[in-house]
Amino acid sequence: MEKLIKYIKILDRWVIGVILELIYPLITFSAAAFLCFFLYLFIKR
Amino acid sequence: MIPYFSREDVGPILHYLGKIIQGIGALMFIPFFIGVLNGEWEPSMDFVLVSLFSIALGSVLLFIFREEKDLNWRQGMSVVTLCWIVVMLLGALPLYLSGHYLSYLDASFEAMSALATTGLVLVNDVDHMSYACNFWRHFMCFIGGQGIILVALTLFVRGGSAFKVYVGEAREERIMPNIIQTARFIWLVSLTYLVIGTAILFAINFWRGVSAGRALFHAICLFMAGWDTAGFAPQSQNVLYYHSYLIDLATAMFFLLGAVNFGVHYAVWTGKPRELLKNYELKLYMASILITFFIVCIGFKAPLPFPNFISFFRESFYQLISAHTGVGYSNIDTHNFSYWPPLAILGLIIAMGLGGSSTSTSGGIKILRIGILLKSIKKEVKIFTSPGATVVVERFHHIREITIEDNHIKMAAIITLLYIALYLAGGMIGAFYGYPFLPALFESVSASANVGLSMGITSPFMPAGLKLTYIIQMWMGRLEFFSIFVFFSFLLSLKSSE
Repeated sequence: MEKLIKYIKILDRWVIGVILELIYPLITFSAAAFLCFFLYLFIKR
Repeated sequence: MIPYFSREDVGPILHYLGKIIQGIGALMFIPFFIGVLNGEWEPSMDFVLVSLFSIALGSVLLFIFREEKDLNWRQGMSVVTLCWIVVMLLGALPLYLSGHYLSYLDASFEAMSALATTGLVLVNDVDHMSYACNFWRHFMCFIGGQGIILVALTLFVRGGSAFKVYVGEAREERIMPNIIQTARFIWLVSLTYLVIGTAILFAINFWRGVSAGRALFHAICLFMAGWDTAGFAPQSQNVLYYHSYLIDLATAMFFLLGAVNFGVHYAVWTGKPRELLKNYELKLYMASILITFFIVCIGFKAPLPFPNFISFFRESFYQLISAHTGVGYSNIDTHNFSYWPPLAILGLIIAMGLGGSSTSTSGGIKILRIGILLKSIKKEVKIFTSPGATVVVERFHHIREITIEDNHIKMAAIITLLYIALYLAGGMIGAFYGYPFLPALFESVSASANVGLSMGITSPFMPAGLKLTYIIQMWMGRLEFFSIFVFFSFLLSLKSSE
C-alpha cells in the first residue's frame, strides 16, 4: 500500500509537471501575439 | 607532455563502434515490421538485408576487438565522431534502395539531416514513399535527436566510459548524479511526451476525417520529428499539407518544449515547478524569441503580403519559432520566402543561429552560452565602474545558483565563435557556387544550427560539393566541434607516429 501511495505521488508530480510545462509555450505564444498585433497596426498605419 | 594517440587506442574505439552498429541494425527491425504490417514486401526486405549486414559488421568488429576496456576521453570522443558517420552511411542504405533518391550521396545527406535533426530534404516524391521507409526517416530523427550515444548508453555502454561518450555528443550537463540514470530520465521525458503528443495529433487528424491508421502514422511521425526538432514531415508540403490551425498549435507547443533543457523538465517533474519562473536560460529564451520576432515583423512594410492579422501572425511566428527552436517545420511554401523582405529573413537567420536551450534536442549556439556572454559583459562593465579593490561576482539561476567563472566564459566564447565561423564558411561556399549571399547564408545557418528551413537552395539538383558541405556542417553543428577536433587529432597523430 505504501509503495502504491509513493507511485501515485510520483505520477501526480509528473502530471502537474506536464501541465505546468504546457503553460510556458502558451505564455510565449500569447506574448508574441500581442507584440505582433501592435506591430501589425503600426505597419498598416 | 601532450598525450598522443597510438594504435592501442584503435581497439577500444572499434569495439564500442561495433556495439553501436549492432544496435542500429537491431533498430531497423522496427521499420521492417511496419512494412510487413502494411504489406510492403520490397521495402521490408531492404530493411532486413541492411539490418543483417549491420549486425554482421558489428559482430565482426566485436570479434576482432573483443576486449572491453573503459574508454579514456580521447577514445570516447572518437567513438562519438565516428559513430555518427557510420550510422549515417548505414541509415542511408535502405533510403537509397527505396529508389526515392538520385544518388547514395543524396540518401546520406537525408540520413545525416535526420540524425542531426536538421530537416533539410533531398527526397523525391515523398508523398508516394512506403510507410516503412517514411517511418525510418522520422525514426532516425528520434534516434539522432535523443542522441545515438544516449540510445547506446541506455542499452549497453557502462562504467567509466559512459560520461566520456555522453559529453562527446554535445551534452555536458548531468541531470542526475549517474549518467545512465540521466540517459534513462531523458528517455522517460521523451517517451511520456511521445504518448501525449501522438495522442493529441492523432485526435486532431482523426477528427478532421483522416483514417485511424493514417492518422496514427502521421501523428507518430510528426511528433518524433517535432519533439526532436528535426522538422521532417510525412508529406512533401511539410506542415502546410494539413492546413490546420490545431496542427500548427500542437506541433509548435511540442517543439518549443523539446527545445527546453532536460534539467528543467527534471526539476519541474520532481516537484520544483518554480524552476520555470526562475531559470535564467528559459527567461532569456522567451526574450530572445520576442526580440527576433520583433525583427521579423518590422522587416515587413505596408502593403503587407498577408490578407489579415491572423495570417500575418500565423505565418511569421510559426517560421520564427520553428527557426529558433531548430525544428524547421514550415506552414508556408518554400517559394513564399521570396516575398519576405531581407530584414525579416535576417531575423530568421539570427533566430536559427542562436538556437534552443542547452541539453535539449535543438541545435545552434544555445541560449545559455549567449546568457553567459551577456553576464560576462555585465561583469566587465561593473569591474570598470567599481573602485579598484571591489570583487565583482555575477550569478545566475540554472537548476542551481551558478557563479560565472572564467572557464564558463571561455567555453561559451569559443563555441560561439566556432558556430559563427561555420555559418559564414557555408554561406561563402554557397556564394562560390553562384547563389546570392543572403539565401546561401540562410541555408548555411539552417544546416549548421540543425534547423531545416530552406529558401530553395537545398534540392536534389544542387552541386555535389554543396551537398557535402552541408553534411559536414550538420555533423559539426550537431556534435559542437570538439569531439570532431579530437578525432582529427587522432588521425594526424596516427600518421605522424608511423
